[in-house]
Amino acid sequence: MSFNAILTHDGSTALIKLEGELDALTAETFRREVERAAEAAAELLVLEMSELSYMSSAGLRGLVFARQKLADDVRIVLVGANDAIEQTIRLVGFHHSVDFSDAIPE
Amino acid sequence: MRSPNRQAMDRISLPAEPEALDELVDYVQTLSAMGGLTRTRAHWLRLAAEELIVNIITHGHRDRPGEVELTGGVEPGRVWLRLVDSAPPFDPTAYEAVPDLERPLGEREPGGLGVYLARTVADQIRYEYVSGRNQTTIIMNRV
Repeated sequence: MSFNAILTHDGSTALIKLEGELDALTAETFRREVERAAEAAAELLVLEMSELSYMSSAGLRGLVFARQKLADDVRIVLVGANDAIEQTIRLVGFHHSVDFSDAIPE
Repeated sequence: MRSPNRQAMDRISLPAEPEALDELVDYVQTLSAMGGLTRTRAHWLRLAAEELIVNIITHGHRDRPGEVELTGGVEPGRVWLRLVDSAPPFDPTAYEAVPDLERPLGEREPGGLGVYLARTVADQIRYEYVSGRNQTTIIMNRV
């Protein structure tokens, strides 16, 4: 099983590209990158998910962690989540705390 | 090629430790292919299976050594996967904790999501406690 999380910065935007399968074994990698993004004091956190094929509750806990680590006024935008992942996020009500988008915000 | 009406997977036994997850995923993917589940339904079976085995490993066995036995099969209308463990009795179908879905993420306690998700995405979960073992069965319809 493979998973990758790669953090980059563009101005005040932090972008983490997620690739592969985000589950109980790989979620720690995601948390680490979220922690690094939080240290950089961005105004916007983009999670690019177009190459993410699977996410379990371990990934959802990573989103909770991100929301708690970042300041309240930092938006979290999920880009390119597949249908099953978007539905998983909606099932637990997390869509009230993050935004979905088809493209990376300008 | 049509999927067979009835077929069973070999029984396997996994150590009750996080690394067992990779083998569970292989098992579930083989079972989903055998039953001809759609991509989305295979995704839900994998999700339910991960959530339940992680719950058994982290809350049931709590780092004590143990095993989780897997069996699975295909029947005319459905695919089933059974997890059997010797941890203290835990009935996921009776588990009351439903996360407060309207509460903002920043105010939520971590956890409590896995069993809720498994119950939501599976078509059915059955539970029995037999001879000192938990038997948890996930059922997905072949639609």
